[in-house]
Amino acid sequence: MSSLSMRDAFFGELYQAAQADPSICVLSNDQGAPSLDRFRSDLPEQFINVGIAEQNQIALAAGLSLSGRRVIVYGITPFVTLRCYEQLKVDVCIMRQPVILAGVGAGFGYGVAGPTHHALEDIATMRALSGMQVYCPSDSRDVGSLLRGCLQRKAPCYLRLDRECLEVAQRPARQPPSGLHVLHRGHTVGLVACGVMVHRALELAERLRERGLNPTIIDLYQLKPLPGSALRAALGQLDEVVTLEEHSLNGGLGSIVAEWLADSGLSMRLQRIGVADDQLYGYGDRPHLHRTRGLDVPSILAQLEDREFLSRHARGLVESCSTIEPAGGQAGTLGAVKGAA
Amino acid sequence: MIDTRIASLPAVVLAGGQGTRMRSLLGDLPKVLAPVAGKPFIAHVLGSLARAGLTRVSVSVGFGAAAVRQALGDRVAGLRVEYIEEAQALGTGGALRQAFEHLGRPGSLLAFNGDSFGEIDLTRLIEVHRSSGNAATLGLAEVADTRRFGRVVLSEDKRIEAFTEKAPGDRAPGWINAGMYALSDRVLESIPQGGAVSLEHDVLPGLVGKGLGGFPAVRRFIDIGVPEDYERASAHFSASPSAPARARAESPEQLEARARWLRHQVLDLGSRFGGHVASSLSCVELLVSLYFGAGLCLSPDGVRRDRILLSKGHAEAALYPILAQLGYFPAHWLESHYHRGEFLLGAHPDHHVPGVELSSGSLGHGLGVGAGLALGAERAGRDECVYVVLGDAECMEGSVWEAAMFAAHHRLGNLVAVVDRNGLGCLDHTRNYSGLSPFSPKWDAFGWEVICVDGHDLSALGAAVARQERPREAKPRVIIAETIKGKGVSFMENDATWHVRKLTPELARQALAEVGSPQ
Repeated sequence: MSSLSMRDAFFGELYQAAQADPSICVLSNDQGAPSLDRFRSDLPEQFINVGIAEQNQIALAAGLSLSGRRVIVYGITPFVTLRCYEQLKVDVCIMRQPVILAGVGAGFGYGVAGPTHHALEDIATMRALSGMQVYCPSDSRDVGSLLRGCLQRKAPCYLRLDRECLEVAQRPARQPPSGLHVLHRGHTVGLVACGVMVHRALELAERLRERGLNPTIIDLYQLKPLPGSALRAALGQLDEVVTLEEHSLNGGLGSIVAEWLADSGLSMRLQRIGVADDQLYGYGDRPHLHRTRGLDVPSILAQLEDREFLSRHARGLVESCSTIEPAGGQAGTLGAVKGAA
Repeated sequence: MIDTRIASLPAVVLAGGQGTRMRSLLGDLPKVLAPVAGKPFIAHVLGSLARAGLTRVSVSVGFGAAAVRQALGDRVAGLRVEYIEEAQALGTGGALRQAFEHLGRPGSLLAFNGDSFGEIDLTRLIEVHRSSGNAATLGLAEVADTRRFGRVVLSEDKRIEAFTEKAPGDRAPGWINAGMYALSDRVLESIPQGGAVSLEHDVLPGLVGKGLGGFPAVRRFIDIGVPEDYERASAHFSASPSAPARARAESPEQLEARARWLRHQVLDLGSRFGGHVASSLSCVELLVSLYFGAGLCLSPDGVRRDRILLSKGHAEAALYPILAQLGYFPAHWLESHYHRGEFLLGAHPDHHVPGVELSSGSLGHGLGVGAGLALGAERAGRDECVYVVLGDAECMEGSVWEAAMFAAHHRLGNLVAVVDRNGLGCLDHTRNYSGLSPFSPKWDAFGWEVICVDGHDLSALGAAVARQERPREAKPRVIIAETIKGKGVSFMENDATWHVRKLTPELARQALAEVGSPQ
């Protein structure tokens, strides 16, 4: 486990940036964080607790931005996205103000707090806003560079941050920022995931390898603008793709990939794993919610079984495995597939 | 805001020309040094580039190089200036090729004529240039008469289709090349080195159909190519609304005349194009007081200025004539662009229309944005006032009170809310369906200083809205202006149905007769 949460990585990076740039200003909706305490005490002029008033939080952010400040809006995800949605549209997007939204609590991250605190519609809604960029990192290591990127852009950006400390996914240490990480280069099938589901995809891939498949694994952390050419380079030769998201199936990662496939004229099968429309609102801890909503590995395997995914690709495995190419640092997984073949 | 991407872009100002047509006036003085409103013309150009976000430029000098260097030095309006010297006359294209090499062959280059002035959003220019993949993107200005310049023919998707020659004939409004360019390296590489090449004549025409795009958004364009325009230039700068004078505190008689004129404008626009007539009429005196009587510093450029936010966006018909009058955009936009056309002056104002500070139309946004602006100015130590014009029915939005609480807590004494209290919503009198009353005690309870005035009495309004030197950390002020929706037109006054009704030609004639002559 990584000891650093995305939120702490975010505020760590922001502290550095704000020391160098006094125009940076954080607006919180009465939400704190231990890692924000240092920021508040050292840089009091750059922090404003706007109170529990998110419509005003976004309007203020736009006004401060118009007056020359670089504004970061912080809060639990539903309250800085849906609660103030129209302010985001009018004050931020219509007036094209480069406000950065940092929403903590992706998906079911707030578990027992219940559906008021869950964020299962945020990708769909944020990406519907014109000009709004959407990022969903899978671990704290990407958060710093994403924030630095957002600070350089002159566009509104939404960062979907997980509440929990997630493992740092294995990948080559330095990749140019292409919008996605190719965590493993396999063949025939691919897994595309974002946020916590990247870790689920890695587990799932292990299980698929046991069954003789060697999926390509993509961490698609930049959801908008979609890195189309990098996605095409990673997925273009595959027969079937599975998307995994801790988000409603309406308008999230699966929808993004489906739209991209349709628009780019690629013909490959697509299986979307996510939260069904009638499963959005529930109470329970995160593992329970994942089990009951089909987001844990056994449920995902069962769904894929139902859709004949496994039987479809078990055939012809022996012929194709001679063409496997390893991605950097992933030789071990290649061996596993060879063993299975 | 300093946009770091813009600030560091390589930019060249072309100042090597001789200005033969200006010889009669300037003698041996390089054209770019022609004195205009107290300083060399090129200093105005450099000042506008600094305001647009650049932090350094290279000035390409040729004729009169030493004089230009001496006049400008190495810093103008906060802009660092370096010089690239033309050993021989290279023309605009040749000078750019030389600068391109000098600057290390950057992927793209911004270029500006030193003898023409305009205001441009460089961030958007660069966005357009990059996203379109254009070889060259030209800043275009709209002028009432293109004959002297040659017209640029622009397609729907902003491709330049042709340059028509300077020609006599009928006065023809349209787009012209404003002498502001984003150029890609492939264009610059194609310019032959070492000889005289004209960008306008030898390079750009050959790019038509090969990635030549237009950016039709240059404002306040003027050039000093010929003596007549030079004479006009002095007036352009000295009378421009960018002159940061708190001069807009006119006499009561002037304000009365403005109000009559504006009411006439509202009805005239309303009868021809529709729009929110009754809601505009209720805040005529209010807007006249703010724009012409409050002594505000309303500079259309730069961050530092007083601001008026029309949060009740459904009073656009009273706002646009004022903005045109103040020179933010040409008056003919009211004919060509209101409810139509490219630079749409919509039924609610958009932030991207020059002079409009807030995109409104959705109610309850302005006070929060205004509080952010006021707080930003206050924390930066800038003496700026922010005025937000709200409708009273708008105050049913909860977001107004979120902002009211915030502004009072932070003691934003530089924030003024002006409420057009006409007592009418879209459907009915507010007293019949809302709990707005008691209205002023609400603001008082929220920690605001409350001033109630007759919203059609210009002298009372003038005293209430006047810009005040206030101590930091004072209460925010709210001016509750009691008004009549549809004021001045008997059949509209206090009739809710006129929120959306259209004026027939006959009713328009009657209404215009009631408000009297604009003179």
